[in-house]
Amino acid sequence: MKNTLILFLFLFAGNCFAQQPFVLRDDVLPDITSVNTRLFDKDGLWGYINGGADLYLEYGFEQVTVFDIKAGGIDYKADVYRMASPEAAFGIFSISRFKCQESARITPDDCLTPYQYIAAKGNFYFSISNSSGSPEAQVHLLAIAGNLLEQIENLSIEKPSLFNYEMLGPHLSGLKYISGQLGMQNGFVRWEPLFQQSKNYTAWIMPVKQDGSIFYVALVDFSDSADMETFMQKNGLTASNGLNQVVGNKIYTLFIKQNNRLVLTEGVIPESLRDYLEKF
Amino acid sequence: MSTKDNPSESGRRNFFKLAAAGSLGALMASTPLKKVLAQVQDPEKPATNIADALKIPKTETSMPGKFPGKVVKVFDAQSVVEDKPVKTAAYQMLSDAMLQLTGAATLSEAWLMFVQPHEKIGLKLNPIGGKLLSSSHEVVQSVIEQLLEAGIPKENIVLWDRREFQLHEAGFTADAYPGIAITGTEKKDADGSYYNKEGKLYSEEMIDKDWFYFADVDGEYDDYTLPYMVNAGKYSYFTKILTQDLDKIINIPILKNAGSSITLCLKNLGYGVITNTGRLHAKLWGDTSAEVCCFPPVRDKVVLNVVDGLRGCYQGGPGANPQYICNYNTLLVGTDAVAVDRIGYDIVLKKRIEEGIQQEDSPRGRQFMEYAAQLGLGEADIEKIDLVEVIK
Repeated sequence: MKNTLILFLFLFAGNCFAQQPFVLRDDVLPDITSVNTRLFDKDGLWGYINGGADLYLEYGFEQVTVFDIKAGGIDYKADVYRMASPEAAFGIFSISRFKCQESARITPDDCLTPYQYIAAKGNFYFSISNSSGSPEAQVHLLAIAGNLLEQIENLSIEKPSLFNYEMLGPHLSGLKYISGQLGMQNGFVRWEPLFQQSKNYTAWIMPVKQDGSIFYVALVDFSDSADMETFMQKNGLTASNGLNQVVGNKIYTLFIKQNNRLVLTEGVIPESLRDYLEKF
Repeated sequence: MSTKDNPSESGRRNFFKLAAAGSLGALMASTPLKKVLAQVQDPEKPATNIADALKIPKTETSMPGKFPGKVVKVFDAQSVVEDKPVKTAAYQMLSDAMLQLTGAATLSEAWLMFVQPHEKIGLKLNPIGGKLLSSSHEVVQSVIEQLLEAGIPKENIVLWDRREFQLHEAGFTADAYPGIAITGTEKKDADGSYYNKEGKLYSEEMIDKDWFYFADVDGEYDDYTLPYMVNAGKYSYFTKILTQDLDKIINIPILKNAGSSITLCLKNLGYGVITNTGRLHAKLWGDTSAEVCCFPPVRDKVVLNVVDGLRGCYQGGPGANPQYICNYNTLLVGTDAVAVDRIGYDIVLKKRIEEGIQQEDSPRGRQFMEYAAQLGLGEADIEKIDLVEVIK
């Protein structure tokens, strides 16, 4: 392939709304034999990933650009999902990230495994995979990713400052962002029963493993006070700030904040964290 | 296949007759049906026409088939080498499973309990995961070989799924399977178009409007999506491949998760044989998997389930997310789709817990199997399932 592949796919980078031609360099991989490009918008996602579409739609999906690349006898696929917000892009990334061999390789929120590289940057979620899993193919994943990511303005997502607390900071790589039932089912099954009757919420959830035990810290925003009250009522929780509440065989602690915001923990949390969450 | 030979014909007539009758009448006297209908009438759920399907009497081939509640699980650690299924191992695992399931003296005898040489036999595959995670060629080829060895003519074997082109993408092509028909409800022509010269979807010719699954949920699709859904509205039509072309079905799904649940036998059928499915996922995901299987074309034709668990996934399903693909080295075989799903569920759950995806069982993941059991499709109670394990 001699010519640079200039694909006139106008992607809106982050929030800047500047149209940019999306370019895949012809030398991004050696021995490229073919590149096929497809574009699916909100209504077309069903045709592309069938039942998997619902999860993206729940987070807020706008468009996906798909590159099918053949190079050196190996199939590569790069999916660039333009989501409705940086949070939505990070949300998909956060529930997809798993057993990363390496993280923060190209951008702060990325994850490399033998068969796949995923990342969130600005409004975009990237999934680049290969059919081989070989070390060579892994290098090629990074090459494709590098080429695609460099074309997007660096609008990294701002995670809630709650999680900057020194005890929580080291666990940021496990932070998940969830905005509905499917996200909860796919990303944090543990709390699926807790949220199964809730709608119109967003939740940042962090598992914290410490000294051989584990607890969970979440920042949950409800759309209105009625939704928040319903959530507490359905789960047998009371508005007792900072006190342990035993429901079934689990211990929860609630810290009610302004604007229909809740800090919720599960498990036994250290006293210093309790103080911090109370004051937050 | 003539009308006379078509086992669905009597069911179809009954379907309309009973559907028109409206009243559940004397059928309500049956306690299990009462329970089922109570669930059907759950005001929280959109209404469906499941009650009409349940009125059609079962036949001797109806699900759960010849061996209700029985599942054979074969494990062979050598069945996948370097992430590639091994054909000889797959063949042997299938042989073992068939003999264990049926108690037959020979393999041919085992297969002939389910299918006959004069019948058109469809192998319902699952190619959604492309080359990475579809029904494996090693298992599909093993099924074909054993059918041929049992005397089933090659021309009576059909590989099929909803989307013909996905079968091709996953390598189920005429070149790879010479002499075997390969088809799907949703088709494209050589130019990649879904529409014929008259501007009509090829898939419209493939659907049988006499058989439908009604659900009070509207499907609305744009021009791009319509070819994948075939029709919009509140009706999902069954494919003619199932209602008219085939006599028996061997269901070959792949061992995959769907959130904290699974997508195996029931889902491969429920969502694989009807149109207009996009509307059903949100409110009727599990119900559809169970209810569609109650309609005679599915219920009375699916005679065997072979779950390809050589490779599968435990998260990210039903799509193929490479980091979650794993080697289960397992084949599950049974006539009872519900029982097979229930065993598969435990395998996937165990893996999810091992990998830290979830810490404990989430009962919601089992709901559709329990519902299917209430509908009389099979056994969902793990304590009542006769599980035969073969470890090689």
